[in-house]
Amino acid sequence: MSAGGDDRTDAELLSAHVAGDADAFGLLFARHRDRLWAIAVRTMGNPDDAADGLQDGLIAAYRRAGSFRGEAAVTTWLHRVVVNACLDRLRAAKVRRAEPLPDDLDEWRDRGSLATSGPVDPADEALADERRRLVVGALARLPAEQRAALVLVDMEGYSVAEAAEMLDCAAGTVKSRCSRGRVKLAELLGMLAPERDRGHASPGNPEPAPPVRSSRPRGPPAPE
Amino acid sequence: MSDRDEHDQTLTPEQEAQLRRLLADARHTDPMPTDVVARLDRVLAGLADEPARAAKVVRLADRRRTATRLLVAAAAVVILGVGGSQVVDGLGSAGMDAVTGAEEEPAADRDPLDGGNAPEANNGEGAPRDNDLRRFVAKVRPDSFADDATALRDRVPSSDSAYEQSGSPVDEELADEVCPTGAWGAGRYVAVRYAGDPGWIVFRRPQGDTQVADLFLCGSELARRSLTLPYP
Repeated sequence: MSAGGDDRTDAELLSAHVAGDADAFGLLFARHRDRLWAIAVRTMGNPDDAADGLQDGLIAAYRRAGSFRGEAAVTTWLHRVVVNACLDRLRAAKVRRAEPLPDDLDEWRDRGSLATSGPVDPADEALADERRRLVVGALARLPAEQRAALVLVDMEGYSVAEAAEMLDCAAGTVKSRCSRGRVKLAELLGMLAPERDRGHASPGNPEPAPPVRSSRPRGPPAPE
Repeated sequence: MSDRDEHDQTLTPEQEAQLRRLLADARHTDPMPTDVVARLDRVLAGLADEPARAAKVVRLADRRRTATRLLVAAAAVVILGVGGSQVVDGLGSAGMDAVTGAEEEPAADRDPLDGGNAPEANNGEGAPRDNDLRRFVAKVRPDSFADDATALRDRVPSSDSAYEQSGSPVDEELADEVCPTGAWGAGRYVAVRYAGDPGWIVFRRPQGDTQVADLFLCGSELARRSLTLPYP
Protein backbone atom coordinates (compact mmCIF):
# COMPACT_ATOMS: atom_id res chain seq x y z
CA MET A 1 0.00 0.00 0.00
CA SER A 2 2.58 2.61 -1.00
CA ALA A 3 1.56 6.10 -1.98
CA GLY A 4 3.68 5.82 -5.11
CA GLY A 5 3.88 8.55 -7.71
CA ASP A 6 0.53 7.93 -9.34
CA ASP A 7 -0.88 11.11 -10.86
CA ARG A 8 -4.44 9.92 -11.11
CA THR A 9 -7.07 11.76 -9.11
CA ASP A 10 -8.94 10.06 -6.31
CA ALA A 11 -11.99 9.70 -8.50
CA GLU A 12 -9.90 8.16 -11.28
CA LEU A 13 -8.33 5.69 -8.89
CA LEU A 14 -11.70 4.66 -7.53
CA SER A 15 -13.07 4.22 -11.02
CA ALA A 16 -10.03 2.18 -11.95
CA HIS A 17 -10.59 -0.02 -8.93
CA VAL A 18 -14.21 -0.61 -9.91
CA ALA A 19 -13.01 -1.40 -13.43
CA GLY A 20 -10.70 -4.07 -12.08
CA ASP A 21 -7.35 -2.33 -11.54
CA ALA A 22 -5.80 -4.47 -8.79
CA ASP A 23 -3.55 -1.70 -7.42
CA ALA A 24 -5.82 1.32 -7.65
CA PHE A 25 -7.63 0.96 -4.35
CA GLY A 26 -4.42 0.43 -2.44
CA LEU A 27 -2.97 3.60 -3.96
CA LEU A 28 -6.10 5.55 -3.07
CA PHE A 29 -6.08 4.31 0.50
CA ALA A 30 -2.37 4.99 0.91
CA ARG A 31 -2.90 8.62 0.01
CA HIS A 32 -5.32 9.14 2.86
CA ARG A 33 -4.29 6.50 5.34
CA ASP A 34 -2.53 8.79 7.82
CA ARG A 35 -5.50 11.08 8.20
CA LEU A 36 -7.90 8.16 8.37
CA TRP A 37 -5.63 6.62 10.97
CA ALA A 38 -5.73 9.80 13.04
CA ILE A 39 -9.52 9.83 12.95
CA ALA A 40 -9.74 6.16 13.80
CA VAL A 41 -7.35 6.49 16.75
CA ARG A 42 -9.23 9.37 18.31
CA THR A 43 -12.64 7.89 17.60
CA MET A 44 -11.84 4.43 18.92
CA GLY A 45 -9.66 5.67 21.77
CA ASN A 46 -6.73 3.32 21.31
CA PRO A 47 -4.50 2.07 18.45
CA ASP A 48 -5.60 -1.58 18.61
CA ASP A 49 -9.28 -0.82 18.20
CA ALA A 50 -8.43 1.85 15.65
CA ALA A 51 -6.64 -0.74 13.52
CA ASP A 52 -9.68 -3.02 13.71
CA GLY A 53 -12.08 -0.21 12.87
CA LEU A 54 -9.92 1.02 10.02
CA GLN A 55 -9.70 -2.50 8.65
CA ASP A 56 -13.48 -2.77 8.72
CA GLY A 57 -13.71 0.52 6.87
CA LEU A 58 -11.11 -0.52 4.32
CA ILE A 59 -13.01 -3.68 3.52
CA ALA A 60 -16.34 -1.89 3.34
CA ALA A 61 -14.97 0.79 1.04
CA TYR A 62 -13.27 -1.80 -1.16
CA ARG A 63 -16.50 -3.72 -1.61
CA ARG A 64 -18.84 -0.74 -1.91
CA ALA A 65 -16.73 1.27 -4.32
CA GLY A 66 -19.09 0.42 -7.12
CA SER A 67 -21.92 2.19 -5.33
CA PHE A 68 -20.10 5.52 -5.18
CA ARG A 69 -22.00 7.93 -7.40
CA GLY A 70 -19.78 10.99 -7.17
CA GLU A 71 -22.25 13.00 -5.13
CA ALA A 72 -19.45 13.88 -2.73
CA ALA A 73 -15.68 13.99 -2.89
CA VAL A 74 -14.02 10.60 -2.79
CA THR A 75 -12.22 11.57 0.40
CA THR A 76 -15.52 12.49 2.04
CA TRP A 77 -16.97 9.16 1.01
CA LEU A 78 -13.90 7.30 2.24
CA HIS A 79 -13.99 9.13 5.56
CA ARG A 80 -17.67 8.33 5.92
CA VAL A 81 -17.11 4.64 5.40
CA VAL A 82 -14.25 4.52 7.88
CA VAL A 83 -15.94 6.64 10.55
CA ASN A 84 -19.12 4.59 10.31
CA ALA A 85 -17.15 1.37 10.50
CA CYS A 86 -15.56 2.65 13.70
CA LEU A 87 -18.93 3.70 15.11
CA ASP A 88 -20.46 0.34 14.20
CA ARG A 89 -17.69 -1.39 16.05
CA LEU A 90 -18.16 0.85 19.07
CA ARG A 91 -21.92 0.24 19.11
CA ALA A 92 -21.47 -3.50 18.75
CA ALA A 93 -19.01 -3.69 21.61
CA LYS A 94 -21.04 -4.72 24.63
CA VAL A 95 -18.02 -5.08 26.82
CA ARG A 96 -17.42 -1.53 27.90
CA ARG A 97 -14.19 -1.08 29.72
CA ALA A 98 -15.36 1.45 32.24
CA GLU A 99 -11.99 2.99 32.89
CA PRO A 100 -11.97 5.17 35.95
CA LEU A 101 -10.82 8.71 35.60
CA PRO A 102 -7.08 8.90 36.03
CA ASP A 103 -6.05 10.37 39.34
CA ASP A 104 -4.38 13.29 37.68
CA LEU A 105 -7.62 14.29 35.99
CA ASP A 106 -9.11 14.87 39.42
CA GLU A 107 -5.98 16.78 40.28
CA TRP A 108 -6.44 19.00 37.27
CA ARG A 109 -10.03 19.59 38.24
CA ASP A 110 -8.91 20.92 41.61
CA ARG A 111 -6.39 23.18 39.98
CA GLY A 112 -8.97 25.02 37.96
CA SER A 113 -8.69 26.18 34.40
CA LEU A 114 -6.29 24.56 31.99
CA ALA A 115 -3.65 26.66 30.34
CA THR A 116 -3.96 26.80 26.60
CA SER A 117 -1.07 28.95 25.53
CA GLY A 118 1.59 27.25 23.45
CA PRO A 119 4.71 25.88 25.13
CA VAL A 120 7.71 28.17 25.20
CA ASP A 121 10.22 25.82 26.79
CA PRO A 122 10.71 22.11 27.45
CA ALA A 123 8.82 22.28 30.71
CA ASP A 124 5.86 23.75 28.91
CA GLU A 125 6.19 21.06 26.25
CA ALA A 126 5.88 18.41 28.92
CA LEU A 127 2.88 20.22 30.30
CA ALA A 128 1.34 20.35 26.83
CA ASP A 129 1.87 16.61 26.39
CA GLU A 130 0.18 15.93 29.69
CA ARG A 131 -2.68 18.20 28.74
CA ARG A 132 -3.15 16.37 25.46
CA ARG A 133 -3.18 13.06 27.27
CA LEU A 134 -5.89 14.28 29.60
CA VAL A 135 -7.98 15.67 26.76
CA VAL A 136 -7.71 12.39 24.87
CA GLY A 137 -8.62 10.46 27.99
CA ALA A 138 -11.67 12.61 28.57
CA LEU A 139 -12.66 12.38 24.90
CA ALA A 140 -12.67 8.60 25.15
CA ARG A 141 -15.38 8.83 27.80
CA LEU A 142 -17.89 10.57 25.56
CA PRO A 143 -20.65 8.72 23.71
CA ALA A 144 -19.37 7.46 20.38
CA GLU A 145 -21.47 9.81 18.27
CA GLN A 146 -20.40 12.92 20.19
CA ARG A 147 -16.81 11.78 20.12
CA ALA A 148 -16.85 11.23 16.36
CA ALA A 149 -18.39 14.66 15.77
CA LEU A 150 -15.76 16.41 17.87
CA VAL A 151 -12.93 14.44 16.25
CA LEU A 152 -14.06 15.51 12.79
CA VAL A 153 -14.98 19.12 13.56
CA ASP A 154 -12.71 20.26 16.36
CA MET A 155 -9.71 17.98 15.87
CA GLU A 156 -9.55 17.42 12.14
CA GLY A 157 -11.02 20.78 11.19
CA TYR A 158 -13.81 19.64 8.91
CA SER A 159 -16.76 21.94 8.53
CA VAL A 160 -20.06 20.98 10.07
CA ALA A 161 -21.40 20.31 6.57
CA GLU A 162 -18.49 18.03 5.71
CA ALA A 163 -18.77 16.23 9.03
CA ALA A 164 -22.50 15.77 8.43
CA GLU A 165 -21.75 14.05 5.12
CA MET A 166 -19.20 11.81 6.74
CA LEU A 167 -21.50 10.92 9.61
CA ASP A 168 -24.47 10.56 7.28
CA CYS A 169 -26.66 12.82 9.39
CA ALA A 170 -28.05 16.34 9.33
CA ALA A 171 -25.83 19.34 9.99
CA GLY A 172 -28.03 20.23 12.95
CA THR A 173 -27.35 16.82 14.45
CA VAL A 174 -23.61 17.37 14.13
CA LYS A 175 -23.92 20.76 15.82
CA SER A 176 -25.95 19.26 18.64
CA ARG A 177 -23.49 16.43 19.17
CA CYS A 178 -20.58 18.85 19.17
CA SER A 179 -22.32 21.12 21.63
CA ARG A 180 -23.22 18.34 24.05
CA GLY A 181 -19.84 16.75 23.68
CA ARG A 182 -18.03 20.00 24.44
CA VAL A 183 -20.08 20.55 27.59
CA LYS A 184 -19.39 17.05 28.81
CA LEU A 185 -15.73 17.36 27.94
CA ALA A 186 -15.52 20.65 29.81
CA GLU A 187 -17.05 18.99 32.86
CA LEU A 188 -14.57 16.14 32.74
CA LEU A 189 -11.68 18.55 32.40
CA GLY A 190 -12.84 20.67 35.30
CA MET A 191 -13.58 23.72 33.24
CA LEU A 192 -17.03 24.15 34.70
CA ALA A 193 -18.12 24.84 38.29
CA PRO A 194 -19.70 21.70 39.78
CA GLU A 195 -23.49 21.70 39.65
CA ARG A 196 -25.20 21.89 43.05
CA ASP A 197 -27.62 19.14 43.85
CA ARG A 198 -31.17 20.30 44.05
CA GLY A 199 -32.40 20.92 47.60
CA HIS A 200 -28.92 21.43 49.01
CA ALA A 201 -28.09 24.77 50.50
CA SER A 202 -25.35 26.81 48.98
CA PRO A 203 -22.06 26.58 50.80
CA GLY A 204 -21.03 29.40 53.14
CA ASN A 205 -23.06 31.53 55.52
CA PRO A 206 -26.68 32.01 54.66
CA GLU A 207 -27.80 35.42 53.52
CA PRO A 208 -29.00 37.52 56.50
CA ALA A 209 -32.74 37.71 56.76
CA PRO A 210 -34.25 41.03 55.74
CA PRO A 211 -35.43 43.25 58.64
CA VAL A 212 -38.99 42.64 59.74
CA ARG A 213 -41.18 45.67 59.18
CA SER A 214 -43.98 46.26 61.71
CA SER A 215 -47.38 47.00 60.35
CA ARG A 216 -47.77 49.69 63.03
CA PRO A 217 -45.13 52.34 63.33
CA ARG A 218 -43.71 52.43 66.84
CA GLY A 219 -43.07 55.60 68.72
CA PRO A 220 -40.21 56.30 71.11
CA PRO A 221 -40.11 54.16 74.29
CA ALA A 222 -42.16 55.50 77.17
CA PRO A 223 -40.10 57.11 79.93
CA GLU A 224 -39.61 54.88 82.93
CA MET B 1 -24.36 7.50 28.52
CA SER B 2 -26.78 8.24 25.70
CA ASP B 3 -26.59 10.92 23.13
CA ARG B 4 -29.71 12.41 24.55
CA ASP B 5 -28.42 13.26 27.98
CA GLU B 6 -29.51 16.72 28.88
CA HIS B 7 -26.99 19.17 30.19
CA ASP B 8 -28.28 22.21 31.97
CA GLN B 9 -24.96 23.96 31.64
CA THR B 10 -23.70 25.58 28.50
CA LEU B 11 -20.30 26.95 27.66
CA THR B 12 -19.46 30.59 27.39
CA PRO B 13 -17.91 31.60 24.06
CA GLU B 14 -14.54 31.81 25.81
CA GLN B 15 -14.89 28.34 27.31
CA GLU B 16 -15.95 26.87 23.99
CA ALA B 17 -13.04 28.51 22.22
CA GLN B 18 -10.65 27.22 24.87
CA LEU B 19 -12.02 23.69 24.61
CA ARG B 20 -11.82 23.69 20.83
CA ARG B 21 -8.20 24.79 21.05
CA LEU B 22 -7.51 21.93 23.45
CA LEU B 23 -9.09 19.47 21.06
CA ALA B 24 -7.22 20.82 18.05
CA ASP B 25 -3.99 20.59 20.00
CA ALA B 26 -4.75 16.96 20.89
CA ARG B 27 -5.11 15.87 17.28
CA HIS B 28 -3.29 12.65 16.48
CA THR B 29 -0.40 13.54 14.22
CA ASP B 30 1.71 10.39 14.05
CA PRO B 31 1.61 8.43 10.77
CA MET B 32 0.02 5.01 10.62
CA PRO B 33 2.38 2.51 12.28
CA THR B 34 4.24 0.19 9.94
CA ASP B 35 2.68 -2.92 11.48
CA VAL B 36 -0.80 -1.55 10.77
CA VAL B 37 0.26 -0.68 7.23
CA ALA B 38 1.47 -4.23 6.76
CA ARG B 39 -1.72 -5.65 8.22
CA LEU B 40 -3.93 -3.63 5.92
CA ASP B 41 -1.72 -4.58 2.96
CA ARG B 42 -2.46 -8.21 3.76
CA VAL B 43 -6.15 -7.48 3.99
CA LEU B 44 -6.09 -5.76 0.62
CA ALA B 45 -4.24 -8.69 -0.90
CA GLY B 46 -6.88 -11.02 0.54
CA LEU B 47 -9.69 -8.92 -0.88
CA ALA B 48 -8.11 -9.10 -4.31
CA ASP B 49 -8.07 -12.91 -4.03
CA GLU B 50 -11.69 -13.21 -2.92
CA PRO B 51 -13.29 -14.03 -6.29
CA ALA B 52 -10.93 -17.02 -6.69
CA ARG B 53 -11.75 -18.47 -3.26
CA ALA B 54 -15.48 -18.00 -3.53
CA ALA B 55 -15.62 -20.07 -6.69
CA LYS B 56 -14.52 -23.27 -4.97
CA VAL B 57 -17.18 -25.94 -5.26
CA VAL B 58 -17.62 -28.53 -2.55
CA ARG B 59 -19.10 -31.88 -3.44
CA LEU B 60 -22.38 -32.60 -1.77
CA ALA B 61 -21.12 -35.83 -0.23
CA ASP B 62 -18.13 -34.05 1.29
CA ARG B 63 -20.43 -31.42 2.85
CA ARG B 64 -22.63 -33.98 4.46
CA ARG B 65 -19.73 -35.92 5.88
CA THR B 66 -18.23 -32.71 7.20
CA ALA B 67 -21.52 -31.64 8.75
CA THR B 68 -21.84 -35.01 10.48
CA ARG B 69 -18.35 -34.84 11.94
CA LEU B 70 -19.27 -31.55 13.56
CA LEU B 71 -22.04 -33.03 15.68
CA VAL B 72 -21.10 -33.63 19.29
CA ALA B 73 -23.13 -35.41 21.96
CA ALA B 74 -22.81 -32.54 24.42
CA ALA B 75 -23.29 -29.72 21.91
CA ALA B 76 -26.52 -27.79 21.58
CA VAL B 77 -25.75 -26.91 17.96
CA VAL B 78 -28.34 -27.55 15.31
CA ILE B 79 -27.33 -28.17 11.72
CA LEU B 80 -29.37 -27.15 8.74
CA GLY B 81 -28.46 -29.55 5.97
CA VAL B 82 -28.45 -29.00 2.25
CA GLY B 83 -31.88 -28.27 0.89
CA GLY B 84 -33.18 -27.71 4.39
CA SER B 85 -34.06 -31.35 4.80
CA GLN B 86 -32.10 -32.06 7.96
CA VAL B 87 -32.73 -30.04 11.08
CA VAL B 88 -31.83 -31.41 14.45
CA ASP B 89 -32.53 -29.87 17.80
CA GLY B 90 -31.02 -30.27 21.23
CA LEU B 91 -28.36 -32.77 20.51
CA GLY B 92 -27.56 -35.20 23.22
CA SER B 93 -26.37 -38.74 22.74
CA ALA B 94 -29.85 -39.68 21.62
CA GLY B 95 -29.93 -36.72 19.32
CA MET B 96 -26.63 -37.76 17.90
CA ASP B 97 -28.01 -41.14 16.98
CA ALA B 98 -31.01 -39.50 15.37
CA VAL B 99 -28.80 -37.29 13.25
CA THR B 100 -26.56 -40.05 12.04
CA GLY B 101 -29.63 -42.11 11.25
CA ALA B 102 -31.20 -39.30 9.34
CA GLU B 103 -28.00 -38.52 7.53
CA GLU B 104 -27.55 -42.17 6.62
CA GLU B 105 -23.87 -41.83 7.08
CA PRO B 106 -21.74 -44.89 7.46
CA ALA B 107 -20.51 -45.41 11.02
CA ALA B 108 -16.92 -44.88 9.92
CA ASP B 109 -17.70 -41.28 9.05
CA ARG B 110 -19.21 -40.35 12.39
CA ASP B 111 -17.61 -37.76 14.57
CA PRO B 112 -14.83 -39.55 16.44
CA LEU B 113 -15.90 -37.85 19.64
CA ASP B 114 -19.18 -39.75 19.67
CA GLY B 115 -17.34 -42.92 20.51
CA GLY B 116 -17.42 -44.31 17.01
CA ASN B 117 -14.45 -45.75 15.23
CA ALA B 118 -14.08 -43.24 12.47
CA PRO B 119 -10.80 -43.65 10.64
CA GLU B 120 -10.05 -40.00 11.09
CA ALA B 121 -9.76 -40.47 14.84
CA ASN B 122 -6.70 -42.62 14.33
CA ASN B 123 -4.76 -40.16 12.25
CA GLY B 124 -5.73 -37.05 14.17
CA GLU B 125 -7.56 -35.49 11.28
CA GLY B 126 -11.06 -36.20 12.56
CA ALA B 127 -11.54 -32.96 14.41
CA PRO B 128 -13.16 -30.39 12.16
CA ARG B 129 -11.09 -27.35 11.32
CA ASP B 130 -11.95 -23.78 10.54
CA ASN B 131 -12.31 -24.48 6.83
CA ASP B 132 -15.19 -26.80 7.64
CA LEU B 133 -17.13 -23.91 9.14
CA ARG B 134 -17.72 -22.59 5.64
CA ARG B 135 -19.67 -25.63 4.62
CA PHE B 136 -22.62 -25.59 6.93
CA VAL B 137 -25.13 -23.33 8.56
CA ALA B 138 -25.68 -23.75 12.29
CA LYS B 139 -28.98 -23.01 13.94
CA VAL B 140 -28.82 -21.01 17.11
CA ARG B 141 -31.82 -20.36 19.32
CA PRO B 142 -32.74 -16.92 20.68
CA ASP B 143 -33.47 -18.23 24.15
CA SER B 144 -30.26 -20.27 24.26
CA PHE B 145 -28.02 -17.98 22.30
CA ALA B 146 -25.19 -17.97 24.82
CA ASP B 147 -25.16 -21.75 25.16
CA ASP B 148 -25.45 -22.32 21.43
CA ALA B 149 -22.73 -19.82 20.60
CA THR B 150 -20.41 -21.32 23.19
CA ALA B 151 -21.01 -24.84 21.93
CA LEU B 152 -20.46 -23.73 18.36
CA ARG B 153 -17.23 -22.04 19.22
CA ASP B 154 -15.91 -24.91 21.32
CA ARG B 155 -16.84 -27.55 18.80
CA VAL B 156 -14.30 -26.46 16.25
CA PRO B 157 -10.72 -25.74 17.29
CA SER B 158 -9.49 -22.45 15.98
CA SER B 159 -6.11 -21.12 15.08
CA ASP B 160 -5.07 -17.65 16.16
CA SER B 161 -5.05 -16.47 12.58
CA ALA B 162 -8.76 -17.18 12.29
CA TYR B 163 -9.44 -14.01 14.25
CA GLU B 164 -7.74 -11.90 11.62
CA GLN B 165 -10.36 -12.70 9.01
CA SER B 166 -12.67 -9.87 8.11
CA GLY B 167 -15.26 -12.02 6.47
CA SER B 168 -15.82 -15.47 5.12
CA PRO B 169 -16.38 -16.74 1.63
CA VAL B 170 -19.63 -18.59 1.09
CA ASP B 171 -19.67 -21.91 -0.71
CA GLU B 172 -21.76 -21.91 -3.85
CA GLU B 173 -24.03 -24.55 -2.43
CA LEU B 174 -24.77 -22.42 0.57
CA ALA B 175 -25.52 -19.34 -1.49
CA ASP B 176 -29.26 -19.82 -0.98
CA GLU B 177 -28.86 -20.39 2.74
CA VAL B 178 -26.81 -17.43 3.83
CA CYS B 179 -25.69 -14.06 2.56
CA PRO B 180 -22.16 -12.83 1.93
CA THR B 181 -20.53 -11.46 5.03
CA GLY B 182 -20.70 -7.74 5.65
CA ALA B 183 -18.14 -5.29 6.97
CA TRP B 184 -18.44 -6.66 10.44
CA GLY B 185 -14.87 -6.57 11.54
CA ALA B 186 -12.18 -9.09 12.20
CA GLY B 187 -13.03 -12.38 13.79
CA ARG B 188 -13.98 -15.96 13.24
CA TYR B 189 -17.09 -16.17 11.09
CA VAL B 190 -19.74 -18.87 11.41
CA ALA B 191 -22.89 -18.93 9.29
CA VAL B 192 -26.06 -19.40 11.33
CA ARG B 193 -29.83 -19.38 11.30
CA TYR B 194 -31.25 -17.31 14.12
CA ALA B 195 -34.99 -17.73 14.64
CA GLY B 196 -35.15 -18.67 11.00
CA ASP B 197 -33.21 -15.66 9.80
CA PRO B 198 -29.85 -16.14 8.09
CA GLY B 199 -26.82 -14.45 9.51
CA TRP B 200 -23.35 -14.83 10.90
CA ILE B 201 -21.81 -15.05 14.32
CA VAL B 202 -18.45 -13.35 14.55
CA PHE B 203 -16.27 -14.57 17.37
CA ARG B 204 -13.83 -11.80 18.23
CA ARG B 205 -10.28 -12.38 19.32
CA PRO B 206 -10.32 -13.49 22.96
CA GLN B 207 -9.15 -10.99 25.52
CA GLY B 208 -7.94 -12.71 28.63
CA ASP B 209 -10.68 -14.97 29.87
CA THR B 210 -13.51 -13.46 27.86
CA GLN B 211 -14.53 -13.40 24.23
CA VAL B 212 -17.14 -11.32 22.46
CA ALA B 213 -19.54 -13.00 20.06
CA ASP B 214 -21.54 -10.71 17.76
CA LEU B 215 -24.54 -11.90 15.77
CA PHE B 216 -25.21 -10.11 12.48
CA LEU B 217 -28.30 -10.89 10.46
CA CYS B 218 -28.13 -10.64 6.70
CA GLY B 219 -28.69 -7.14 5.44
CA SER B 220 -27.83 -5.44 8.71
CA GLU B 221 -24.69 -3.51 9.56
CA LEU B 222 -25.41 -3.52 13.28
CA ALA B 223 -25.06 -6.48 15.58
CA ARG B 224 -28.39 -8.09 16.39
CA ARG B 225 -26.96 -9.59 19.56
CA SER B 226 -23.64 -9.33 21.27
CA LEU B 227 -22.46 -11.42 24.16
CA THR B 228 -19.35 -11.75 26.21
CA LEU B 229 -18.57 -15.41 26.61
CA PRO B 230 -16.15 -16.91 29.07
CA TYR B 231 -13.02 -18.02 27.29
CA PRO B 232 -11.39 -21.14 28.66
